Amino acid sequence: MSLLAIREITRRFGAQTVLDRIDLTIEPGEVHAIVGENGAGKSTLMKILSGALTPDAGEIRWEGIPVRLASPQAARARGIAMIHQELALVPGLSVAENICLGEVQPWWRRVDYRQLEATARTVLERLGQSIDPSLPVSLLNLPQQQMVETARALRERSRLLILDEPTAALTAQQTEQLFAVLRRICAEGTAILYISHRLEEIFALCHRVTVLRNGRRVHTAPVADLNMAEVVRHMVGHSLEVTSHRSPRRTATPLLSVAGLHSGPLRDITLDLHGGEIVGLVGLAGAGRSRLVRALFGAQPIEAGEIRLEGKAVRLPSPQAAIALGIGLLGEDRKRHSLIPERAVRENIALGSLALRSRWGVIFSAAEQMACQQLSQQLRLKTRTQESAIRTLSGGNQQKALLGRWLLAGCRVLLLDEPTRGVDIEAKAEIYQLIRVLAAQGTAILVVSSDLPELTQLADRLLILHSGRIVSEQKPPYETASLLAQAMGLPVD
Amino acid sequence: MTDVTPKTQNPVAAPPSAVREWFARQTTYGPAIAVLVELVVFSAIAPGFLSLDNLINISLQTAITGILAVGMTLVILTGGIDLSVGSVVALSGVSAALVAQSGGPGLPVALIVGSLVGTLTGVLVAYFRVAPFVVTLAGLTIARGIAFLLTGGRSVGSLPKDFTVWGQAVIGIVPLPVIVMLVVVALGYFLLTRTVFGRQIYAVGGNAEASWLAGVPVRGVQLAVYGINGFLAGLAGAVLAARLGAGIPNSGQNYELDVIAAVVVGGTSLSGGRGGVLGSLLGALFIGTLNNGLNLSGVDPYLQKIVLGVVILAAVLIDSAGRKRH
Repeated sequence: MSLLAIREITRRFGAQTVLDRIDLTIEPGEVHAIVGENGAGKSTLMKILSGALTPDAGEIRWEGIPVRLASPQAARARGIAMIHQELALVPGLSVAENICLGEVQPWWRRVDYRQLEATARTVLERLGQSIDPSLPVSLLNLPQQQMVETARALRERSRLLILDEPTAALTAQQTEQLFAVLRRICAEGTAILYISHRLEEIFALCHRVTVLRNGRRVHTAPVADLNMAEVVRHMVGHSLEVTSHRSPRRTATPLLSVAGLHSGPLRDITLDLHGGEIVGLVGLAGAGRSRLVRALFGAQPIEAGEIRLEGKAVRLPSPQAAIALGIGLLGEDRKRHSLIPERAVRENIALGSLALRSRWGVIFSAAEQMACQQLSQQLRLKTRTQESAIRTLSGGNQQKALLGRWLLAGCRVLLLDEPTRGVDIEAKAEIYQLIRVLAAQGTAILVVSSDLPELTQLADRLLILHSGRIVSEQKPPYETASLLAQAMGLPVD
Repeated sequence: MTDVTPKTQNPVAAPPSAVREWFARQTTYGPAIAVLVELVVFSAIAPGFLSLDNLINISLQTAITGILAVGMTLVILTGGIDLSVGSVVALSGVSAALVAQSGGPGLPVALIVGSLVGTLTGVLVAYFRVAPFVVTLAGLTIARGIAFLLTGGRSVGSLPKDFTVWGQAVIGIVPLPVIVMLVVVALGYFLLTRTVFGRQIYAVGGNAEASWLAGVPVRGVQLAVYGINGFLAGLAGAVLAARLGAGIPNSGQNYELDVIAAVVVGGTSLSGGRGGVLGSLLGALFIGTLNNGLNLSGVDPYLQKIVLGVVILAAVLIDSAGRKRH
């Protein structure tokens, strides 16, 4: 009998179906991989299995018995433990305390630390780890913390571990150690659901693989029966996407040029952005996409390298300095990076260019109202008035208004990080149109997106970022499968 | 690129709609109604409440709180807090009195002392990332301690006339402190609604990270609001010392609580980004009127404290309930 069997699991968010009748079985002792592009539904599925979300329809059977996983606690009680991308440990507590955290004891009982540590040591030994259980977790490095979390799951006798991108921050050697531990756990009969972008890991570790695409399960097979190219083909669909390509009127000399830039995970980034062209940046989560656009906007320190604007070397110590040079960034997370939610639409739009419509620090109110009014019409902004708080607008209209912030500032270089995330289809099309118009007017545009079709549709050329390096440059017609393979760091023939 | 003059671009804003729009944009109807209700109730129950003398008296009582409330509003709008204002009032008051007593310029000294304390607070908050609650709590006891050290714990009296006018002069029927307060409120209103700096204050309080990414010098804004708040505490300190005719190291105790209450009753959100000085002025009037009215109604002073607390809670609860419905 399967340990876990789900049938026809469906989940909608509003009008969007993110999971469409998913079937899946997991056997004891099996490592089962889930792969798919960003937005394929992987994380929604994991949330359902770990009890963080409930499905709209479908059935979950645990050892043949139908169950409801109404909360993470309920899932944990059944023996399903999720090990998160962001670890869920209490940094100030010791390793032993963290491992035994879920233990229910009467509150008046004295904690027997010696026993706690002995328990923790036994579990860690099962994992082949020699971490001192009395150390506070904050002193451990990331792979050790991962081990502590895994140990906690084992301590709770979890029978299904869900790992979401566990190797994202690990070195090759640490990854190998993790795999050794996971193999050992499986040999004891625990099942593992393994999510990763890195196909080579899946082929090294997993027994079976399930491919999701656009919320549907498209393929499940033993890993031994597949090769990487086939998996990629299932992930992107069969069509070899060729998009019509507009010829850009790009400037002869680059507007922004970057040479040998190092910043955090970014290594030796060299790129040119010409006025009038749209350049797409392809990469997996964690490849350094956002870091790159933020560094070019002065929001992340640059450790080495040179940035030139129209041939002149510039320094970008702060976003303020970047904006003064005519660079704008539409941040990845609208709520966190862009919105002043309680303030009026007008104030949000005007915020990036207050100096242009003021003298001696006093704002020309009429000029500002006029400019924002015109812009709203141009953007076809759906808002009752300019004075409504921007939080009352839909996501798409918020995004248009925030793009308007940089239009009003007259940016020559526009950096767009996930410009259509959480935006409805209509607004999406309008944003694409706006980006094209801006490029036609001579703006240099760099777009980061997890949505590959979005990039192949928009970009005049694509740069592929893998582990902090630009590994290749592609011109249309783009071949989606090959782009994805390169972003995953696979060799391309 | 600043040649876009407002004159050339005045399209649809005909005067009547501009006035209507101004009214539509105000968020201070709650506090305004509350003050009106108070006036009506106390006129009915408190003997002598509705006399000109008493109303002028209320406005004089409110003047110090009102001046301080403007600075506090700026600080709270950025998401901060300043607990030290009462002590800064005392410190700047005694500094001014000491200088004025020996014939020096009292008022400027108070302004400088206040600004210095405020700027120091601002530096610690903005550049050393210390929580404003902690910085200003320390400032509260330090400033009070310095005020006592400077005077040996005694009041500094017999001040020259050219200093005491700031607290005692009356223009027409209006006391000078009231005029000072109104000027400060007007400047604060202009700063918040019409200037780049005001816009940046709201932005920082609304979302500091987004503001930084929109080019707002977040730390500079934080430093400036504490500096201005200190300056206004210095001004209030001078006015208070002038009114009392003495620099008193004990004065200004618990003012920070009255001032914060006035700002909150006036509808400014303690989490920042929402509110304004008109509301704070009304909040200060509300509290001043309440104290005065309860006194005149002969309510037990101990009971007054309880009433004040309950009324503040009720005002804020009603306000937030109204906001949710919107």
